[in-house]
Parts: sequence; structure tokens; C-alpha cells
Amino acid sequence: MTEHEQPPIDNKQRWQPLSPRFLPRMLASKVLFALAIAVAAPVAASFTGGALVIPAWAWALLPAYLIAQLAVLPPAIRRSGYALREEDLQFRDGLFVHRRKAVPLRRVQHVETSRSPLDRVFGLSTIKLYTAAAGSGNLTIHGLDVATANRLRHHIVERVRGEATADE
Amino acid sequence: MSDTRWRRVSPLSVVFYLAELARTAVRQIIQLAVPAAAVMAGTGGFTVGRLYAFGIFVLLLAMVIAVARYATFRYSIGEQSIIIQSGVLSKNQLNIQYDRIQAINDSQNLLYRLFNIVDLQLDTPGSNESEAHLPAVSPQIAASLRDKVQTAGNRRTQQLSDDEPGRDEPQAAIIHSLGTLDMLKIGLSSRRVLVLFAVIPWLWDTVGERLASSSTPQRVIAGTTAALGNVTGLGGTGSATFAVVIAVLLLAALSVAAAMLRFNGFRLMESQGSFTSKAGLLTVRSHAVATRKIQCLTLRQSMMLGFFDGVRITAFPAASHRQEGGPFTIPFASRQRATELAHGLWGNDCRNLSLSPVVGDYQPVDSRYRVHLFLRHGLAPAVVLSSLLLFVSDFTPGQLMAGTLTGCLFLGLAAIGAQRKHRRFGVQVSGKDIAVRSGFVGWQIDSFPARKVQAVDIEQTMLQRRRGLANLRLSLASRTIVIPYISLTLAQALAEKILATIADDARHWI
Repeated sequence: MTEHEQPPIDNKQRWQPLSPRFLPRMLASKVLFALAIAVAAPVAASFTGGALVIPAWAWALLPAYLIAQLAVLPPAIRRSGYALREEDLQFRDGLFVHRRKAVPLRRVQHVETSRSPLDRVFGLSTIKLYTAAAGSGNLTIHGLDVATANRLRHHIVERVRGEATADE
Repeated sequence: MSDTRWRRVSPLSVVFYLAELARTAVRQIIQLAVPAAAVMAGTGGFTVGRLYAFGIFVLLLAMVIAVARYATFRYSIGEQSIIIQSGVLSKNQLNIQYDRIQAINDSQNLLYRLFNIVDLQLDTPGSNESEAHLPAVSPQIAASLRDKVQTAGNRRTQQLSDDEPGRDEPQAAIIHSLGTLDMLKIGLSSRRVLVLFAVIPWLWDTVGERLASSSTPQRVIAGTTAALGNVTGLGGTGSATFAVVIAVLLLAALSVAAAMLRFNGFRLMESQGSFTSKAGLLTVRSHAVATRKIQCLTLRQSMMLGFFDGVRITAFPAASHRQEGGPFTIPFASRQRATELAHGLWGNDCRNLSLSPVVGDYQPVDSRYRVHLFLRHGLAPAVVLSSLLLFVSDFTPGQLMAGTLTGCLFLGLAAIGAQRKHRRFGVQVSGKDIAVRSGFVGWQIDSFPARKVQAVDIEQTMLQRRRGLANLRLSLASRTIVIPYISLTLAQALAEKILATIADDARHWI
């Protein structure tokens, strides 16, 4: 499937799930974060010359953090999804606070796709839509397959170009 | 044919660059002081001669940088865009299409007035600060740029056929002006004065206490108030009152002076679908905005403005909140005049919206909004603060009683505040336009056409889900408007209506 193929436009707003590889990618990032803390904390403590001692119970926080992530991430990712409609791109996420964002394609200023090293390992990509309302008006969708992200980007860029040509 | 040759700004821009360097140095004072002190200490310590030499070196360096920046700054005014080249070490070239320019703001300080040049800022959307800045150019250049931006705007407007006929009067007509009495009202309505009224009890206590004690540091104050007593013929308490009154009057006068400095001789002019304001005592600032570029318009009446039956109007073009010129402001107008001016600023948009706080079909938000406000701004801070205080210190039963009473008083005020805010909050939807009314002591109305919305968010907390409520967040290019605690059905309907309006409306948002 190439990026020039039309992404599925669904005006009935059926939510498309994120890539199934997004969950292992997120879990991997949490594990790496916990490992970084586990390595950095004793190193930082050694620089204080014994003034800072990490209590034994503090080490229990790391597995607790990982267990909490394991409990929260799967339902959160299951709930996340996007819907490309004729005139807008919608995205929903959030486990405790449900959020649904819609960005009209006519309001998109530019589109960006990016891939972190971990994204590259798992074959994922992130797409970001920028509007003139910087900050709250931008839409970021993590955890898309590379092909899906490229198709979305291509579709939106073509649409924005079409609007610009119509304006002229 | 337009003159597209490369031009330089006035050599006086060197003064601007020096001032900018000085501002940067003040901002980075700590980062600069540490290496400077290290160099001084490492090369034999601080002496007066060395400090002078260092000062002269810094001044010369600043002069060289300022002159180099002037020498490398060039601009060219083309038919469709302005090109700006700048940079001493790295070269930058900016090409800004005229139809992207939101507003052209110019200002003249005393020096610039003497040489008849202006400092010109071109506001564009999506940039964190004024993207294009011409530090010292002639007023003719400013006028020529305004014409080009206006022409570009009109061309687009004509293409899109979205503007009303008969808005092409060539001369700018003054439609609103402010006099000296208005400066007094603006000054006295400033938040500075409000803060002042809040600190009067504290001032009273402080002066009273210092009169009672006569320890060394307070002798001057005690002496001053005693002298005031002699002059005014008043006793201790009387002179304390006099001192407080003088302080209040002095600060109020300062606030009025600040209003005069900024808004003296305020004139609002309209020409060809754009509005220009001109005001200032020493530095005269001119701020222009095209009607079609306004994203959101706010009418605000604070408690003090309400006392004078005045309203402040603020028009927000895209990204104006992040730019130096800021939003377009009409600092004072009577309530009725403000409504007329606001409709004038909107042009063809928001015609059917009532921009009055009392007239219009404002739908209230759910009553649980006041519970949310009370929990967030009343109970939560009270619990956190009292827990912290109890944790860090032991209190006597008397202090505990006083603390509890203060806490109860605070919670009572928070409850009243939450109730008032909830009652003031309302949403008015008229056709394709939206107005949101809010306020606590005064009121504020934010109005905007649905087609200017950039993104729509619906969010639900767990509690809101149980009650079928949601917050609707509308992101505009100038600011974000949140409509809290409306039913999920209404939030979804509004979101769909806004998205449909954007899809159907061929007019560009900018």
C-alpha cells in the first residue's frame, strides 16, 4: 500500500484503532524509563558522597510504576482512535478524562510526521496537524503504522494544497 | 510599478538595536554576570579601573553589534510581499505575503518624533513574536505598506465576494475619541487601583503599628507622620489616616498618569474595512487591524468600569496574544456605544448576536459547574493549606479557633463567588455566531463567528460522564474559549454545527 492511496474516509465516524504495535512500544518506553531511573538514581546518590541514601522501599516504586502502567495502558490504547471524515480529522483518547478532538482539514496550516528511535524499532509513526491556534489547536496522533501515517499526511497535504489553490 | 529596490532603515535604528541589546543584557544579567566576574577574578580581581575598562569594552562591543545589525538589515517592498534580510553572522531572509499580515503597528518615541521616523511591527499569525520588524522607517514607508496590505486584503475579499458593498470610503473617519475625563476613568478603573483599595487595611495597620512603636527603623516614619500631624493639625490616628489617603491619591494619580501616557488623545478611525487607533502622550502608537482578520472580540466591564458605566473592547487578531503589539484595544466606551463599536468591528459577522450582558438568549451551564468551582477554588486550596499549616507548626487553641473561623469565612466567600460565576456564565448561539458571557464582579462577553474556530475539543471527566455533561473547548487563532458543564448532547451538537459551518463557508478564516 503506498502513501498515494486514499485513506479510508468514514463520515459515520467509526473509530479506527491505533496500531497493535503501539502497546508494546509504550510498555518498552516505560520499562526503559524505569531502567534509566534505576541506573541514574544510585549514580546521582554516589556523587553526593553518601549524603543522599536511597531507602530500600523506594526501589519498590519502580515495579509498582510498571504494574500501574501495565494496568492502565491497554484500556487507554484500546479507547484511543481516529476517524478521518470528509472535512475533518477526529481523535479520541483518555481513560479517566475522555477527550475527543476535531480539526477541520480547512484549518490545517501544516502537517508533520515524526518517528522516534523506539517508533522505528516498532515500525510506528506520529502525525501532527498544526492549526493557527498554536498549542490547544494542534492535534497529535501517536502509534500509527508508518503507511497509515504517510497516507493520512499525503491526503491532508493534498487537501490543504487544494484549498490554497481554490483561494487563489 | 512599485519600487522594489533594496532599502535600509534609518541610521537611528542603531539606537533601537542598542536598547534591544540593553534589554537582553538585563534579562540575561545572571548568565552574563557569572562569566564576567570569573574573568575579572581570574585576571587580578576587581578594581575601579578594571570595571571602567570592562564597561567601555561592553559599550564598544554593543556599538559594533548595533552598527553591524543596521548595516546588514535591508528590506524590499514588492507588489505581493515584503522581503527582509538581516543577520550579521547568519543571514536570514523573510518573505512575507501582504495578505498574511494581521496588523501593522507603529510607534514613535520622543527621539523618533524629533526625526519623524516610526518603529514598525508587522504582525503575522503563527509566530511567537512580531515576525517582521522595521526598527526605524519613514511614515511614508509605513503608509505605503498599509496601502499594500489593505489592497491585498481587498483583493482577496473581492475574490471571495464576502464583504459588504459601500465600505470603500477613501478617507479615514474618526468614529470614537477619548478626552481627559476619560483618561481619569480609565486610570481609576485600572487593576492597579483595585489592588490599592485591597491594601488600604494593611497600610492602615502598618502605619498605626509604626506610630505606636518608636524603635530605630520606624523613627523616620513616625517623624513623618508626626510632621504631617503638625501640618494638618491632626492627632496620631488622624495623621495616619492622612498618610494613607495621600498614598492612595498618589497611586491613583500614578495610575491616571499611566493611562494618559498610553491613551492620551485616543482616536479610532475606520477606513475601507479596517480600524486604526492612535494614542499616546510621549510615544504615539498607531495600531491598525482589518475587520476580516479579527478572530475574537471581547467586551469587558470590571467593577470600577461599571461604576463609570464604561466598557473596554478588545479585538484579537490571530496570534495577537503572543505579539508585542498585543490585541487591538478601545480602552473606554459607554455600554451602548461599545455595542455599536463592537458590531462595527465585526463588520458582516456576528450581526444577530446581542453583545449586551443582559439582552440576548444566554443559555446557562449546568448547576454542577458551581460545585466544581467551589471544590477547585475553595475547598481544595483550603484543605491543602490547612493540612500544610497543621503539619509544619503547632498552634494554640486560640490560634486554631481563629484559623477555623478564617477558613469558614473563606469557604463562604468561595461559595458566593462560585454561585456568582455560575449565574453569570451563559452561551448565546445565533445563527453561525457564538457569544460566551462570564464574570465574577463585572462581566465579559467573548464573541466570535463559528467559521473562525480552528479546532474543537470535547472532554469529560469521570464525574461529568456519570451526569452526561462535558466541557467544550473551542480553539481560535487568538485564544481558547471553554464552555464548561453543558450536556454532552449539546456539546456534540455545537461541535458538529461548528464543523459543518467551517465545511460550508467558503470564506477564509483570516
